[in-house]
Amino acid sequence: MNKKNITVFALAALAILNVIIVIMIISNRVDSTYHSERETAELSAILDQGGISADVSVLPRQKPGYHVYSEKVSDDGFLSAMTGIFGEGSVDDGAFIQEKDGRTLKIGRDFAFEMSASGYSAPYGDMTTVKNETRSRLEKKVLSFLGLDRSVATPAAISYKTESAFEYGSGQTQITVREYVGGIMTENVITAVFSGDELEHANGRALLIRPTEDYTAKLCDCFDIMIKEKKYFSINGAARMTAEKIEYIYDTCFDVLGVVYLIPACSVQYTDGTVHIYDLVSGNLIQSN
Amino acid sequence: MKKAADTVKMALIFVLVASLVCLSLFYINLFGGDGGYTFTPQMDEAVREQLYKASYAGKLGGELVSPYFIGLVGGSGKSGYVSRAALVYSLGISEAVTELMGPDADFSANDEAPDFIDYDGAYIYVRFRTELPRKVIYYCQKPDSIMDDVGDEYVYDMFIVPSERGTTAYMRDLRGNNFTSFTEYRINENRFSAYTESGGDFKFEFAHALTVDAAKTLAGFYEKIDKYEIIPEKELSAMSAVVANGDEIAPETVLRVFGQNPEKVTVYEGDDGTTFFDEGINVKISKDGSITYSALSEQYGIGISDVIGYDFDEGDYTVTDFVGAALVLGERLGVFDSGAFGTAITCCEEDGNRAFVAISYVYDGFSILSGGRCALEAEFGGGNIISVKCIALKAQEYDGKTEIDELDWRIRAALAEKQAPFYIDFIQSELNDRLYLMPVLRAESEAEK
Repeated sequence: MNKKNITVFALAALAILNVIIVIMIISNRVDSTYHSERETAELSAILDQGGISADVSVLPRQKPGYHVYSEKVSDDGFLSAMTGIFGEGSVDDGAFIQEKDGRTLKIGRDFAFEMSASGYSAPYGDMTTVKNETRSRLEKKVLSFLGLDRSVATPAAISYKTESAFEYGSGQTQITVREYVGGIMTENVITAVFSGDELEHANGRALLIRPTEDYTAKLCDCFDIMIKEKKYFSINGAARMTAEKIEYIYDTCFDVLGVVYLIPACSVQYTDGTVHIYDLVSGNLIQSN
Repeated sequence: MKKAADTVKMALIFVLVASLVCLSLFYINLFGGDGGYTFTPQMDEAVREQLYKASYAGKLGGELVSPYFIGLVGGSGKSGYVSRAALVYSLGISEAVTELMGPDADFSANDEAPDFIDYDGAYIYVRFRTELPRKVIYYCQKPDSIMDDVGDEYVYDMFIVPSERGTTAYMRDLRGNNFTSFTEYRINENRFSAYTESGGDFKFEFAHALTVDAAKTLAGFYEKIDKYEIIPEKELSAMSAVVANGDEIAPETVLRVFGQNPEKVTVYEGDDGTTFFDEGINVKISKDGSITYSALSEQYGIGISDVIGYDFDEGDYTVTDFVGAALVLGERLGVFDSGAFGTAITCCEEDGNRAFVAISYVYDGFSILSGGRCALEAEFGGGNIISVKCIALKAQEYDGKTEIDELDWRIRAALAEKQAPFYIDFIQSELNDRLYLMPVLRAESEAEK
C-alpha cells in the first residue's frame, strides 16, 4: 500500500469513526430524552394489568430534565431584594410590609404575597373571556409590578404564561399567570385583578428572588413513578384507577432556613380526583390528595 | 500541486482526529460515568426532612422549640432572666443574654475565635417549653441557637456551670435523668451556617465531650435550681376552658379523620351517653367530649402515609413522621384551635416500629390536664396509627379573678438560698362543665402532703 492509499484510508476511517460517534450521541440523546412508543405501550399494558388505566396518550414520552435549583436568602438579603423591587418597607415577623399609594403589600419569606388597593372589592357578575391582546398587556403589568419582567441571567430559565383571563360584570378583569422553570410547570400562580389597566389586587406566589445554584441530579422518570403507583394501589387495595394527567413539575420548597429549592417532581392525577406527587430525585411520594 | 494536496490531506486528517477526540469527550461527558451529579438522593432526603419538620413546627409555633427560659447568675454579681420564648426565638440566645445582662455582662468574645462567646463565670440555666427529641427540633433554630444537634438525647433543660476546668454544660430530660455533660461550653454564632452549607453532621461546639454522673458534680448549682420551681413570665390569669368536641367538631368530621364514611357507619348509643360508631369498635365519642379511636390490630389501623401525605416503607418511619402524624391528627380534630392555650409535645417514645406521641395543652409553659389526660395521644405500629385519644379544649381568661404577682430572677435567687422553697402550680377544678385553672403559690411543705 503506497503513501497515497494510506492517507485516503486514514481519512475514510476517521470520517467513518466521526459519523459513528455522532450517530451514537444522537441516538443516546434521544434515548435519554424520550421513551419510545413501544416502551410507552408496554408500560400502559403493565399498568392495565395492575389496575391502573393509563392511555399511551397520557404517559409523557419526554423524560424530565436533571436540574435542581436553589437559593439561600438571608433576612437581610430578603429585605434588600424586596426593597429593590418595591421600595422602602418594613419587616414584621419576617414578612415584608409596605403601605404605599393607597395600597397594602405583604410578602412572606416563602414569597407568598398579597396586595390590595384601598376600597378593593372582589370581582363579580358574568364572566367573559378577554382578547389575547388584553391578556398580554395585563400579564406584562402584573409581572412588572412584581419585578418579574426584568431580564436576569440565572441558571433557571423562568418564564410565565397566562392561564386564564376573564372580564367580570363588575368591569374588573382577573388574570391567572403561572410560573415555569425551564419550560416545566411550577405550582406558583399569580392572580391579579385589574380595573381597566389599574392593578387593584394581586396574590399568590412567585420566585421574587431567582435561584442561582444549579445542581444536577439523577432522576426517576414517569415510568419509574407509574410502577410505584401500581405498587401503591396494589398494597392499598383501591378500586381500578384511571390516570387522567401525568406531568412533570418543579416542586417549589421553602424552608425556615431561608433556602428555596426547585426540585423536579411528577404529578399523577386520576379521574376520581386523587392526585399523587412524587419527588423525582428520591422517587418518594411527597403529596397525596 | 501534489505538495498542496498532501498538505490539505494532512490538515483534513488533523481536523478529523481533533473532531474525533472532541466527540469522544463529549460522549463520555454526556453518557459516561455517574454523570457527576451534584444533588444526591441523600441531599434531597435532608431537604425533605427539613420541610416536613418545618410544616410540623408551623403547627405548634417556632417558640416551642426555642429556649423558653434563660436565667443567669453571673460571677460578678450580675443576674437576670428572660422567659419570653418569642424574644429568645427572635434574638437568638447570645443577643437575649446580652440584653439581659447588659453591656457589662460577665462574658466576652473569645479573642482566638471571634465567632464564639464564652460565658465564663456565669451560672446559666436554660429550659425549654417541653421535652422534645432532638430529631424533631434541631433544624429550626436560629444560627446561634442552643439546641443545634446537641445529641440524640431528649432534652428538657440545661445547666451551664463554671468550674475550675472550664465551663461545663449539663442536659437532662423531663424525668431528670440522662444527664450529659460537656466541658468548654461555647456558643458559636456561625456554626449553623457552616452546618447547612456543608450538609454534614453538625456537632454543637462542646469540646472534649464526656458523660458523667452529673448529679454528683452539680453541687453548688443544682440546689439553686429546684426542679419544682417554676418562674412565670409575668402575671398569670386564672383560666377557664370548655370541651370543644361535640359542639364545634361534628361527628361526621371525626369519622372522616379516622377514614370512615359517615354515611355507612352504624351508630350506637351507650348507657353512659357514649356514641359508638361501626359496631362500637373503632370510634367513640364520650359524653365528656373525648374522642377515642382504636384499630382491631396493627394491620387494620389508619396508614401513617394517609395522614401525613407521603409514603415510606413500614420500617422507615422516624420519630419525625410519628410526631408529624400526631400533629396532623391534632389539627384535624381541633386540638390546636384552643384559644389562650398553647400546645406542647409532652411525650414521644419510640421503640423500633412502635411509637407513642402525646400532645398536651400548656399555658405559659405550664402543662394543663396533668392528671394523665393529654390533648391528644396517638399510638403507632406497623406503619399505621393504631389508637388515638383526644380531647379538644377551648380556653379563655377568666375575668375578675386572681392574678399572681410576677416573680423575677432575684426572688428566684432568694428562693434558691433555701430561704423560701415555694413553687407555683395551677389548681384545677371542674364546675358547670368548665375547667378552671387557678395559679397559686405553694410551699414545698404543702406539696409534700
